Amino acid sequence: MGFGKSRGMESPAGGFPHADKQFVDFVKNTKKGLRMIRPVGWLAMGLAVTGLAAMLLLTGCQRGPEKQKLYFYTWADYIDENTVREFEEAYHCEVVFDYFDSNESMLAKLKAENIGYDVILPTTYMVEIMKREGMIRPLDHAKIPNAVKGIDRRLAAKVGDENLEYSVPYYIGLTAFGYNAEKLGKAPDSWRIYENTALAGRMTLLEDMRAVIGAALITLGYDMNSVDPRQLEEARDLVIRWKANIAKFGVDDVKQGLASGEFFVVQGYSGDILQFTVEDPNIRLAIPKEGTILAIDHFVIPTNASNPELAYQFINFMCDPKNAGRNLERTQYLVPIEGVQNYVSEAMKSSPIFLISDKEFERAQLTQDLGTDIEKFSAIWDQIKAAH
Amino acid sequence: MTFRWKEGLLTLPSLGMLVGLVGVPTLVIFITAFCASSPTGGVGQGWSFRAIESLFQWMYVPIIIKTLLYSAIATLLCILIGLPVAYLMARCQGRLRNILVLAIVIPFWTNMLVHLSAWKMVLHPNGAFGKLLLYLGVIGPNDLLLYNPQAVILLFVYIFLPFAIIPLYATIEKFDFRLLESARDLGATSWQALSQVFLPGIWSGILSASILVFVPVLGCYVVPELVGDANSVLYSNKIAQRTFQDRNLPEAAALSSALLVGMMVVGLGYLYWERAKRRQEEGHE
Repeated sequence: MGFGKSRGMESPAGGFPHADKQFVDFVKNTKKGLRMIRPVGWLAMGLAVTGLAAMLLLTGCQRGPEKQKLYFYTWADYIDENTVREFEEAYHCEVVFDYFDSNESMLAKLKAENIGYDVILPTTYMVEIMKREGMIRPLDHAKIPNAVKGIDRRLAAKVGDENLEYSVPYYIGLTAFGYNAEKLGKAPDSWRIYENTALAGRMTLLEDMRAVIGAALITLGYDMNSVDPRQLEEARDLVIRWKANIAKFGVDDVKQGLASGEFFVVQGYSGDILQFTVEDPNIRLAIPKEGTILAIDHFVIPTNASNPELAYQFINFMCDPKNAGRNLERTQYLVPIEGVQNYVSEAMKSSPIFLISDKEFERAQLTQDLGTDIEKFSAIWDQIKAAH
Repeated sequence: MTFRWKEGLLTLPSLGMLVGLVGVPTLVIFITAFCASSPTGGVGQGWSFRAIESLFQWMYVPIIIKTLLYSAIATLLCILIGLPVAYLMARCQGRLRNILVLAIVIPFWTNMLVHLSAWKMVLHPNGAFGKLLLYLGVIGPNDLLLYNPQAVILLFVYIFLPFAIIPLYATIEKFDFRLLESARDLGATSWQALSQVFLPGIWSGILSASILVFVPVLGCYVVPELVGDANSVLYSNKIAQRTFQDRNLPEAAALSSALLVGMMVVGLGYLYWERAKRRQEEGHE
């Protein structure tokens, strides 16, 4: 068979009969139409060219010294815009935002392209990976006095970077319950709420294997980073029991669902949930008594940053207690900087994030990088997803 | 056979686009399936058959069956709804017909996610439709219209219906309706005219509509993710999970390649069967 032969076949797998004729007609008509409006086209093009030239001239006149740029790679909706604007004014620069929705996609993008971001805000386990891969630079403490002075060292010790060697832990969140107080009456105090069939179809778990299997491991009294096969199997069976009662696994759409009354109990990140509690008093946060998972996002400066000086200035600026307070208020995530309480509103001072007790904080576990053992979690997650 | 230079030159741009934008990416997927995975995501060092081996798991069997079932139901519903609509459009004349075509095409320009969000509002338990059903006693106060398999099918049909209507309309428009009159004149009942004259006459349109719905439904992971329940994990969701959560690109590539090969086998099989049939018919004449 060759090209010559197959030409005779008319679109064997269906296709539009006479499509070619239709197409020719279409082109002819379009041409005719275009010819009619040709003068208008010339006019429009002339205007466009003039406009473009004018714009170039104007911007050319206005161009003073080139503003330096700070490329900031972060999570969406995760910083106070006014504070960023103040930084831009104070340092005569422009902060260019780029967003990621998971640590993994961030890493993949960094590996694929040499972009030259100046500041990135990954989670603890991803900081470990980036450190190991030589992707982030050791921090010069002389350039970030606010961080060195202000950061809560107890917390830094917990994330294994007591001396802020490579990162500045900034936002702290917990995996917690967001719940609808009107529908529930009593606050859910245990991960076992997912076994309550009365709430079947109105609860959700995170679409995040580490958070969900981790919660089950914690409920069973194990370490959330356990890769012991027997413990993982126990956790799997527990999650499968929970799965029967949940509406779905999800992250962003689930938050909306809690706010709009679709879901009564959701597993979520504390800041996300607290942002809704501000808007609706019926939405509340609860921390499971078995313990939960701590999530901390850190400022890091990549090895190939295009403007590391400005990056240091940015981190230092954000670690000023006043600016940290505004970021805290905006995101509802705790910022572990001394004196931050003095810069938040009265309403914020009674927020549950300041009421998380030391005991709860000590007990909360931290997601660690598992290297190749992550495949064990993937396998368990597959089995959970496939179970009926 | 002589090679016609002019023709060859004319096909070059479209051929280049096909190779560059379809051929090369597909090849990259195939190659990635044979790479070793890297725990940091992406592709590791060296070659490996692990990703291909990982395809042979019992776990995938129910997922594949469920995926084919969902796609088949969605396709069938699209054809059943699309046929009368396309027929109506083809029988209308002039302006009305143009308006109908536009009514199908214009919503189609809106992003799928916008449609999905709109449907989530419509089916929301506190939404007007949910309240109406509750008032009528069709659903109980704790029933959800979303997050179940029916919602997934509904949204598949809603989103891919234009893919069915447009090729059906294109075929029915070319159909010679006098054939139906002559069938009736020759004593066929209206059902016989429909099933023995009309449907065979537009068979190619039905087929292309089915393919145009079935194939994208196979790959549409957003719908089950947004309106499905915890059990609505289709083949495409598995590929998404391998990519975004497990950060195992070779396994994701292996799943995609398997889907591609599967579709190719079916497609080529059909072509072969079609050609054999045609040859047989030509032989009879």
